[in-house]
Amino acid sequence: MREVLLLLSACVLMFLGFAWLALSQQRHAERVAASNRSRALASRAQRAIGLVAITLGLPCCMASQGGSFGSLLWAMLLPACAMAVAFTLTWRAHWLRPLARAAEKAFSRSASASASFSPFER
Amino acid sequence: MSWPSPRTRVALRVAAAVIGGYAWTASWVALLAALLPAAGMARSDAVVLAAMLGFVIYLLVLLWGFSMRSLARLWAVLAGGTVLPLLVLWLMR
Amino acid sequence: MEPTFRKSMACLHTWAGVVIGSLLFVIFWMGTLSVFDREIDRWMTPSTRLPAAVAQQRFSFDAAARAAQPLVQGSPQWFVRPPSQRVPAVELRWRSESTKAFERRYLHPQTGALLEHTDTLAGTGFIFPFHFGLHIKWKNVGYWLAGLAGMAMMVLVVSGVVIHRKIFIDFFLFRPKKQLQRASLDLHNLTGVLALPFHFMIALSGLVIFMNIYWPSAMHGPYAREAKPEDAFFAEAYGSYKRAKAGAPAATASASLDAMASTARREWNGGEPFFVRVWHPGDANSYVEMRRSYENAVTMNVDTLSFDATTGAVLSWHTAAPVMGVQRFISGLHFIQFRHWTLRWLYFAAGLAGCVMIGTGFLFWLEARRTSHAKKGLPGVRMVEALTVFSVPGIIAATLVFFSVNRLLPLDAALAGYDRSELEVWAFYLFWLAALAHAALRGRRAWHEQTWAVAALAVTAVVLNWITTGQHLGHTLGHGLWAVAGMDLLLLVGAGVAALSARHLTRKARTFQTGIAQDPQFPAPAQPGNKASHA
Repeated sequence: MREVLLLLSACVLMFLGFAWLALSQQRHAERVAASNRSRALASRAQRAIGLVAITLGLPCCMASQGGSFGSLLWAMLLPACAMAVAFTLTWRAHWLRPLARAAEKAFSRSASASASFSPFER
Repeated sequence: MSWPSPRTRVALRVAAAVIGGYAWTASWVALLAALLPAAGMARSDAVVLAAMLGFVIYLLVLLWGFSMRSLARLWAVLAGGTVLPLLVLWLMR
Repeated sequence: MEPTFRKSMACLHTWAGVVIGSLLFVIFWMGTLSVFDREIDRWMTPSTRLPAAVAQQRFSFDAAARAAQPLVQGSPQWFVRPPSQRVPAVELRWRSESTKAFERRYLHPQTGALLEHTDTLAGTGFIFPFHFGLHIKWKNVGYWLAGLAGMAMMVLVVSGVVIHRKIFIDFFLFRPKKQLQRASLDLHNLTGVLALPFHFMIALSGLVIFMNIYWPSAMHGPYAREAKPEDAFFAEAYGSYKRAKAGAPAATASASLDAMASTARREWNGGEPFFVRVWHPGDANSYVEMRRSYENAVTMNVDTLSFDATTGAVLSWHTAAPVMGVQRFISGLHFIQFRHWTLRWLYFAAGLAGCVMIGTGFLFWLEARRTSHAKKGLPGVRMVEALTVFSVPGIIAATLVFFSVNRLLPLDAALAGYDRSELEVWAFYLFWLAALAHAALRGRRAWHEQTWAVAALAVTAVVLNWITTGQHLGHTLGHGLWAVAGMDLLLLVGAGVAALSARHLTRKARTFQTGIAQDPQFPAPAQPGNKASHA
């Protein structure tokens, strides 16, 4: 039972982490919010949190399945969760609306502040 | 250079990268497998390590072979690099 | 080659993709199916569809050996695998004296009775070997083609990354409603980038498995002074122990295999013997080879014990040397013989992603060049299209025909000197060839026509299973026959996906043919020279 719960936690963490990353991108945030309101997202903090959540999946997997199976499992869950996020954005973008609202509240800035040169944004 | 024709150039390029690249890699793999036991590795392990590295080396050679500008220089480097380890191996015996 | 490295890689990616893509898809498709090769075996050999509980009973090697005796008489070697979760019956194989080929039969794990024999190669005998050798044994050409494909895969992955300039921006992007060229490229990038580590790892690990075939030069340096360099290497690396037969019959009856198995368990700290082979049975020099189960680790160990058959004394004990251990771990990453259902399903999904990646790559290339080739009268698109339909929906349909024919042929079927298993394989190749002819004749329409065929054939296979065995989904799910239920379910889901894809392709083809943008979402059809911006 403990193994299953840890595994589920890993999946949830990684899905949310990738969703968080996606929502830090203009195009996906707009699609989820179904509005064209310009929003200054380019938030390094938001992406850092997303990456941390994804990485936290690794100890969960290892605690659930042991060292070598756990790390292999995490490595194979990466594409699975990322693709789940991509397909959610494609066909059921509104499912991520609560997450988008939370991101906006946590990372809202004035519109002029997004001077980021990160590769995530044009 | 108007000779050789573009199609021949492509054929020479592919032959160089794929076949020439394989021969080049196989040559260095053989040398590596022969030298590693001298460094203390069990000879079966030496063969395994050299063979596994061979795939990575061959990948790099392929990428390089398809991006190098001069076809002539490519053939020269591949030919020379294939012969050199074989020479060393022959001298070792 | 080209002015910049990126342009060279773009040229390389396109050309390698077009030339090797068909071969790659075939290998990826058969490989993805091989994840569930033993489950396919259960579906194709109904007599082995035993409930899991049966496999869990205590197994006796001696009892299995006694049950095997009438079958393996006179054979130079025979081996047995105890029942496992994925193979609930006892698998017995022996080398036939007359044909020199290996025979396989299944025994009931408790009674030792011979289960009804379905003469079929099934998943482990046809699908899996197709994946690594293309069933071309002449001069190992099949292995070399697979090796070429594996190297090409890695080249394609690296070059794909180099040319994908907006790799992070496009990370989660998929727009199925856009015109086919754009949608295909989106999906190609998605399945390629998100599963990138998998694609690279699966190609490299597959090559590493056959390192001996691909780098024969490595062996001859350190083993130059041996009489038989290859044998010496295999003995030292893989622990293959050999002892020639004496030619004289054994003095006493052979020792207990179960006792040897207990010794093995002790030596391996609880590791179970999953493979027991008797060499030269009945001979004075007969010996027993035992190998250790792969179920509990990623690494495919080479732990081997050899016992003298008469006395039970240990003749040879082998475990992997350090570097060989790494090779066994890498091999294990590819073979996935471990017992872990979540991982198995994830590998299956990643394999399918790879198939989608290759297929959408072709679709993109075809759509991007369709108008320009038509204008210039170039045959490229027509040829590649025929080859693509042949290698993508074509081979999927042929595989489904293989499954269906397995259910249709009577147990004693034979024709023109071909036995039942060969007839199944003939059906596969003949249908596949017909798919090529159909693709060549029908051009662009062949895409959705063959995809509809896939949907129809998948449903047919499920129905045939029901008709011929009576074990429909309700029965298999209710009785814990998970392998069969899983296969039927995947066939039905696959049929659904194929139907949806066929509809999507039909709609796109019609819109293109009318030449008018019916759907306001569609921009004007691609102009010649207007390559979609991925570089």
